[in-house]
Amino acid sequence: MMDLSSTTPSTFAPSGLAAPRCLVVTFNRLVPADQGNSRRIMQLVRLYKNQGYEVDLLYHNEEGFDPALSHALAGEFARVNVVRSRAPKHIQPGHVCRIVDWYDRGLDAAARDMHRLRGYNVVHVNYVWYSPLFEQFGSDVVKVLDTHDVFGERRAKYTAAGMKPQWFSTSYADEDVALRRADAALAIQKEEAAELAARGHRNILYLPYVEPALRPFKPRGGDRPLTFGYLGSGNDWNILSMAEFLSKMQARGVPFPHPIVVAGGVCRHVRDGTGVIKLGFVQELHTFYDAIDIALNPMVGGTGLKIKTVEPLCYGKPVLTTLPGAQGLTHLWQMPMFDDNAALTDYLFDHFGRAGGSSALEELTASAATTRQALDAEYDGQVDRLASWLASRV
Amino acid sequence: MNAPDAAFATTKAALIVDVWVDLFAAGLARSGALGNGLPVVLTDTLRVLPLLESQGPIGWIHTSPRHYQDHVLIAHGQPAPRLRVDAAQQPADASQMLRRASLCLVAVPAERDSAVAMAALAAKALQARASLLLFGMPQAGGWGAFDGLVRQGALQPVEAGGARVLASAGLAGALGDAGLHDADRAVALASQLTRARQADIHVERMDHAQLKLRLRIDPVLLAAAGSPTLAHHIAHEGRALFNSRGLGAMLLPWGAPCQARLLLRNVRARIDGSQIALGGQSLSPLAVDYTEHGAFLKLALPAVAPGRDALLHLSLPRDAVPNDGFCDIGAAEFTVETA
Amino acid sequence: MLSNADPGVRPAPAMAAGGRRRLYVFSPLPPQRNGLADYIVEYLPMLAEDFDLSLVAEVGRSGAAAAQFPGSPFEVLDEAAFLARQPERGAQVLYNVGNNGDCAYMLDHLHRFPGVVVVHDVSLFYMHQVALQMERSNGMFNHWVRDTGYEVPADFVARDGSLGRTPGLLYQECLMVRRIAESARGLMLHSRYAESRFRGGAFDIPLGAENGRPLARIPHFVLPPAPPAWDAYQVLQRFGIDTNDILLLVPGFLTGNKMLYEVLVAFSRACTGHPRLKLLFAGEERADEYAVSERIRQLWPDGDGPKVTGYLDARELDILLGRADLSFVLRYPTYGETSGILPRAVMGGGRVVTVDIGSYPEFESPLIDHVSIGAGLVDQLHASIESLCASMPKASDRAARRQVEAQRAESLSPRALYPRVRALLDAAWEAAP
Repeated sequence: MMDLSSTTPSTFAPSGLAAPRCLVVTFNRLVPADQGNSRRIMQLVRLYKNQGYEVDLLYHNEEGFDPALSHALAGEFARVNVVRSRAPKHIQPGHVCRIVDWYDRGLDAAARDMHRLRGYNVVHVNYVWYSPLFEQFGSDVVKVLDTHDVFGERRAKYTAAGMKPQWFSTSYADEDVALRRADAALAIQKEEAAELAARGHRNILYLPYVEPALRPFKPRGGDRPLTFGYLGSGNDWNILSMAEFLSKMQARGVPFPHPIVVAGGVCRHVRDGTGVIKLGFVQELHTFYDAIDIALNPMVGGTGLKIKTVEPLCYGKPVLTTLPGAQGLTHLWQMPMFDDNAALTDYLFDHFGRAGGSSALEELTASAATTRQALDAEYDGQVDRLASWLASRV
Repeated sequence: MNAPDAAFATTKAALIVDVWVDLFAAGLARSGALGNGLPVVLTDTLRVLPLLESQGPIGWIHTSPRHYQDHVLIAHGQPAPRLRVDAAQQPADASQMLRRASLCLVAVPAERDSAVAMAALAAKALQARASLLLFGMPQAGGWGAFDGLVRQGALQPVEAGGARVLASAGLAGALGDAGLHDADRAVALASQLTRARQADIHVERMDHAQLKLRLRIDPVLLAAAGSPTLAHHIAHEGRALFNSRGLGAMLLPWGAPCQARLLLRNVRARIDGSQIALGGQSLSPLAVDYTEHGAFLKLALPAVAPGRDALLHLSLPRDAVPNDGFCDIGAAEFTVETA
Repeated sequence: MLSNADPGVRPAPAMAAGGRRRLYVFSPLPPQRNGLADYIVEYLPMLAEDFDLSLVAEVGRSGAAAAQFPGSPFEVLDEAAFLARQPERGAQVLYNVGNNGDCAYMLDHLHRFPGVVVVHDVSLFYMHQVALQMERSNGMFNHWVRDTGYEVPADFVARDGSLGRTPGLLYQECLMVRRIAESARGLMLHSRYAESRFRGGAFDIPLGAENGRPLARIPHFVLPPAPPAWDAYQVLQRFGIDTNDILLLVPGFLTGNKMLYEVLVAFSRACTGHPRLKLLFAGEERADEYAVSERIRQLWPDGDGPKVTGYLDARELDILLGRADLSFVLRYPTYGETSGILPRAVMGGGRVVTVDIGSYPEFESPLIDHVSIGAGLVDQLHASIESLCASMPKASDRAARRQVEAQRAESLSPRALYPRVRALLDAAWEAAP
């Protein structure tokens, strides 16, 4: 992991009274930031702004552009350039992607011109296949890569779960080259940071994804029955996980005595008659989380940011998760974790198989609060490390 | 040449000085003399230097408020806001830009008040070792604010016909005996730019080392949006749009008197009744030709008055404006004679 | 260089002698059918005396507007011509703004070229909404709303930032005046109610001359009563009004917020004891807001119920107001508007019942009774009808009542109010940076 003792002083001339400048590069549509990756990127944008940076955006348009987005981005960023994506994005046989096939050289001129005009102190790119952009900047510009996931042999995680690989998966060698271009590479999970460090990278910093707490952890009141809930998009991991979980629950042969509410795009893939209440797409998250008492995260696998593991903690709700769902947070997780959905189902029926269950809920809520505190403390510590490192380099 | 003709020629030369400045600065940038530094223009009015901009980004620092958003083209991208910094609102940004400048062009204001702030900025540019070129009408009230710089010996006069031009030593040397009005240099540059497809400019030599320039330019580089909604539509569509009411504004290259041909597209009816205004003057087209591509508007444009934005305002008749889209300027051509 | 003698170049008009300040006025203008056009027309002669006056019409309307003012001492400009003259150091701008689409064009100018803003409607939500629709930029609306200090619940906002649904309460609560207040060099409002709501909507913008934004409360003017119509009898006959009838009137467009149902119920209670009572809905029905004709048919299936006149021109409406024994000028909800009908009804000489909310209580006259919105409204309306029937004023006294009201209204004439308008313009000019 990143060795902060060996930082090199910046050779960049001090900028005087003007705020330091950071260029963020992404293909993600950032407004509204309602997807995990866009929320992570905006977390970093806020971080830079809190450190006093003026932040510009080079938006590699793959998720649409319209006047409303132009207006919204102009409100968030000091300067916005939009480049149409012409990345070929070839996927080789065996589902191997080369970074050279996924990086769009059309970004180079835009980045150079922006730098000439604005004189960046930091360039921050997202996803390893954008690391070639760093070549447009000299050694006086700090280069930060937010990995979002480990993409070396990512395909293996799909095949291990019996699924067809999706999206980007590259070789370890390609990913290593990309990581070495960065002065700092951010990992969103501690396990991923450790994995990358084990491959010899010394510029890795673990920076978890955390959002502000919106609800306190407090005991449930009112007459509403104890309610469980799952919120997830319609991606393959969520569909598979939900299907397996519901299958395990039904296999018990007796109805679960508490309502289970399901929300989000995954609802389209949940069969009727499985005993859950389907809400569909929820515009405001608090309407879902305020309606449940315990969040469920029955993940069978997956990669990258597990937003559904962290998000309930922002709304004061405990989370019952499988180990794959807690990946990246297991070192500070205080609530029960389950090897698989069979164990999760056993726990649910053992502890909540009868009406009531308030004492178990109180214990879980207390553990959730402790987990949140640990996560906040860890996040604050990592932010301080990143901020100190940036300050020493800029 | 008799006295009235000479006076006329002097006045004309002063009015078209920014054409020559643009030619010279573009040639400097193309030769690599500017290195990695940024060309920066200090101005108190809205202007554009299309030839210099063909060589890369320009930073603009304004000493008076501006009310329009204009755009530059990004390779493979959407139009992006042309970077214009308000020196009063963003002094730190202005200073930082000047620290990275290798060339600072100063459009000396008509009035002294605006020039005081500009002179302070020019001094910063000199401190940052940027080459400096000041230009303007000889009678511009702003020259007095630069007396300090002149007295320091930092600037030398440059031959520029009826205009007044001062340059730092290195630039004065580069300009040579011909000064700013080097016709040979201009002809050569135009040829280079056109061959390299960096600009579509044709320069024809006339009598007495005077030139006729014809510039064809992507109108998106000239569209000036008076409202944020229009600016965002221009950024999205990549066209030089009129707003949904049929109101549009266009920057004029250089501010010099010129003939303009504009192609107005997506107009649904005749546009003979359009309102066209420049400064305090209402203009009528010389001709309007309706073709399958749109309506070609031919205009004779007077010089932009000193101290005024180089902005042409147009409003189209109501029935010419579509209900479901925008009219735009699809092509623009300007012809300027330096004599 | 081209000279002014060249073809196709017409110079701007020279500044008027006497050094009068140039004043640009942005407003809907005749022949546009808009109350704001009618409003500004009344002040134009006085403004033209004091200022070098230029009216700025929306694109495409300047020609028709100019044709309405032949030989006038002011010019009518297109937006392009105005913009080409800016910045203009010696000039002041006045924006005549109301909550309708005809004013949307001013949003492109009033932030860039600040001036004095006449705020006719304290909620400008609809005007902003229409402006963005016209600019095909609905997706920006949620951000615009947020800029003015409001937050629309996410359920009403589409993913692209546009408003998917617009509950009526938004028009009430989300005034969208903050940015206008921030840009303004002076402000005019018509009532105490409007001023207090405006101050709330511009919550963090310091107002007043000491903050460079003098604010004046100047009532909407009242025009003198129309002269007696020669054909009043025929018009009344057309609507079935006899000399002995006790005429109850609901004047103006029959919109959904005029409490038409409550009036029907109150009338249905009263008419059983007073057969001479007649109720006339004097205006164009808006069936999509309230199907009053259909409701009348249901309540009076024999066809002997109240009548709906349909559209009336101003002269016909004044005839009916001049005959009405009791006019109902009711609004709920109110958007802070100043009623133009209320003073006209009062000058008709009959009694008037209006609401005690919004700015309605601020127009004072002994002929006016106020009712409170709420559960007891129908009882109050019924009581006002009974009270009228119990003490019918003499018809012969009507002329005297009209005279008194006309005299009272003189202090609210455009010429009487103009000095306050001029004072605001001067205060704004003095306070400008």
